[in-house]
Amino acid sequence: MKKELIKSKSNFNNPLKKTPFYEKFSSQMTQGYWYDWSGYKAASIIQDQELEYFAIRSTTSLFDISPLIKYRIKGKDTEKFLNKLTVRNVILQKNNTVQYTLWCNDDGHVLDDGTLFKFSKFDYRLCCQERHLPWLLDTAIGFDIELFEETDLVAGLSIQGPTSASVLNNAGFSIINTLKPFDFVTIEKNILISRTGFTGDLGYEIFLPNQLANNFWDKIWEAGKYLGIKAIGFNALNIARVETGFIVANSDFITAEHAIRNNRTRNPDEIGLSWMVDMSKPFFNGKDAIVKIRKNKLSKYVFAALEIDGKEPADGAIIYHDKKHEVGIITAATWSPTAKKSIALASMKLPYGQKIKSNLWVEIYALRELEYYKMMKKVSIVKTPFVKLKRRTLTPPLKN
Amino acid sequence: MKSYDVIIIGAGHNGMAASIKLAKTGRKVLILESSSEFGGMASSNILLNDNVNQPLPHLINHLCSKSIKDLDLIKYGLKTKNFFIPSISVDKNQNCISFSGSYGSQIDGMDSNEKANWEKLKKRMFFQANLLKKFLYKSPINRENNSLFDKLDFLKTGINLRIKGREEFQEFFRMMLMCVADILEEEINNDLLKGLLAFDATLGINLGPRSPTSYMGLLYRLAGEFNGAQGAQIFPEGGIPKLIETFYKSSTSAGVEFIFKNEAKNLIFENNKVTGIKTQNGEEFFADIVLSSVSPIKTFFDFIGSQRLDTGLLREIKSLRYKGNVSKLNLLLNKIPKSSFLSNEQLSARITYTPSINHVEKNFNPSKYQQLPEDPNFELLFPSIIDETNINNNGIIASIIIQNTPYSLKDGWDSSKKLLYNKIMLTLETIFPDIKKSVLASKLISPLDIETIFNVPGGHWHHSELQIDRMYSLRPVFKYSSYRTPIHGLYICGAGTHPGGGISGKSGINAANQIIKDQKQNNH
Repeated sequence: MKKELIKSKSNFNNPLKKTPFYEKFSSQMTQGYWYDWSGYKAASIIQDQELEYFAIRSTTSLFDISPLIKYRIKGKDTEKFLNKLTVRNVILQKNNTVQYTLWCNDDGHVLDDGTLFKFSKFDYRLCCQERHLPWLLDTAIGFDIELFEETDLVAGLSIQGPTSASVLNNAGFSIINTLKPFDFVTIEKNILISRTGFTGDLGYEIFLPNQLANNFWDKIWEAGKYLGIKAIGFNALNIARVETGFIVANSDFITAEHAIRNNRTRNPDEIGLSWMVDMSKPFFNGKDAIVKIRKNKLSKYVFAALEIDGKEPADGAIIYHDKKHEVGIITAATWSPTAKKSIALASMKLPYGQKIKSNLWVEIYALRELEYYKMMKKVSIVKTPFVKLKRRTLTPPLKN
Repeated sequence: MKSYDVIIIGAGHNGMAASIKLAKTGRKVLILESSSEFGGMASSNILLNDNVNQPLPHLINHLCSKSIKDLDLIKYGLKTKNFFIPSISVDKNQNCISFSGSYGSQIDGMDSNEKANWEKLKKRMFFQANLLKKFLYKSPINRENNSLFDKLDFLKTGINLRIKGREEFQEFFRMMLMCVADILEEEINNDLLKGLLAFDATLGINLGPRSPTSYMGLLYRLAGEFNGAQGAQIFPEGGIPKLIETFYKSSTSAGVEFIFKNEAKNLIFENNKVTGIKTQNGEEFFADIVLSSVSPIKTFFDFIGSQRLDTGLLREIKSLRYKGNVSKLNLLLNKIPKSSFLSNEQLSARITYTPSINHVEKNFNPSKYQQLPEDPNFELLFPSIIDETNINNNGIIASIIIQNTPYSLKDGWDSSKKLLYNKIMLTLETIFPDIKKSVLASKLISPLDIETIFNVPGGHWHHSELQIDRMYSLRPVFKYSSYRTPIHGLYICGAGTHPGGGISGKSGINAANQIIKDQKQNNH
């Protein structure tokens, strides 16, 4: 008995948690590709990566986002607190909208990025990749707010694809037709629908209390029966997000609290998010440092979007200038089925990628039946997104 | 609109020291003080009765020649005739040793073997303390202050250390982080002597003689000098109040303006630049430079505010240890007390009740559990016996500094004061059998009282713990150890900054130098 008690207290000995949608996804799973997402069992592939990708781009995909870390922040000083925590100005954010944001430590290095849902001046939800409770609580010192984690209380489902609006209409949620990108609406039983996603396509994300998850799934599945609805894993989503040029924390950059080596941390300018930093705010965490970084030009890296000759994906490849000097690394790469190109996101050492944009190459090692094929491929720097879809922003949304 | 070049918060000795340096460069300086007196924690506002008061500190050991010269203290009344105070370590069985000159240059009460042991240890300690001395009057090296010129001192120190030979070199690094008890037990045998040194190493910090790094406390003490006499403890003629007055006189003569009974409440700053101070009664004073000599806890949390601190910095400031553990007992006696074993002459010494290392260590233990010591260690001084000019008609003052009396007590200070008083009196009676009857008035000041009277959070004599993890570049925190703060133009100079502790004026002088240097750089 006692032994069991001890065991149940230590997270490392416990099996991964199951999300409220777990039974739904696992019942369709033919591959067995699971991975650990913040302590939850999450699917990499349900049945077939390519078909799942095409569900995102051609019909409707369902992806379980319940493991997203969610914090609720309420109280008198909520906006003041968030304006200290994050680099954007939350006062400018409208009620019932979602803001993509990031936050930094004292040195101006990025701790994480995430999305901020504004219910009102006094009530926000922050969603992100990593856990940050100690940082948030310490940041909250001196502010009159209430802050708690609701990751385990709120389930999330991402419904993405050109027929997603039709699916939701079929399921009776016609209220979504007026939603513009980044808007959200809260309907009965505390179900929140936002027009957001990680795909660059038409799509919605639903957040709802755990106990409603099963019924909600059934309703959506039924509504999407003739609209090509498909459960997907992260691999398919990952292709779509690279096509859109979205970055993932601890994949495209190392967050400041995870970095073991001093030079692995990145400031917002180095990961292509300088547009977010609102220097007109009187203060935010890391502002003093960012002022200094910009004044003394201390940034060493630049985020770059690359198109690569040929069709080999260049995962983890080193970027060379003049085929000789190492000038960067590819952090995410894929063959884009929509753009029909080999594309990649990269972190490059300045001035390469900014002032020097030509004569860049990547070295790709392709393993084919126990033999490596070594290729030097030409690289051109482009602008994101690689895939731009009109239907993503069209309001009212495209319906089939 | 009242405009100044520099506004200094707090008329403590460091604030005044900085004001003198700054005013001498032609800057227009204002000092804002919340109480009605100058001197801060060394001011004379602890009344024993209507006419008599005795400040918290009663001796100095860190007022080095450079401070005296830089601050013109001699010109404004600091006497060169000062009293080198010997120490007498006693126990309850009427044993004692006396320890005089500049830190034990003569000792009596033990055999010649023991004296030789002490001489050997002393020589080594003085050498090591001397190496540290160089850094006391410098802005610490940190991320901003790290030019080759700044680093040169490290190089010089390293060379000085190395040319002393391999043994001294190795001994320095071996001893640096040791506990003082182990070092003393290696070299000397006399319990009273070891007790005294253990007490001196740990007085004012939350360490026992067997705590690692406690040797550093002794080195720090020995790094001080007076008129070239290293480690000397001095009673300035006229006492601490007279000494503090020389700071004040020097300051006013340099043109510094003082405003008393007007507490600085809010910092006024725009775009991350300080513009002035708003006081308790709503008055505003403007300046490009504000120098806060109060505790870093107060400066960062009250003046800048936790909302304006980067979270990492806030964590660091929050984790500063700033709870004091030293209490003060002032007694007014109707006559000079008679001792059963100390001569009348010996009454002008510092009498420490420090029977042994273990005794000091045992008294440290309860402080970890928020309890009073069993049999407290203390030092006792009779200022009016030492210095005739200090005599008053009301009686003889006994000034007692008590170690290991923590800020937070499980039973609370209200009910514990009487208990502590009785413990001290019990010990005093073994030295002065009749003392209890001759007490006219008494005042016990706990760390909690120090907090209220002097506006110092935690009532810590050094504002925050003066241990190795919070010395030099790490005092008060690494990023702001060069007297700067996140707000441009706001500087700090209290005991919570390098080197801190004792009446030395060093923090004030260093901060003033940093301001002058920074302004020169900005003008270029």
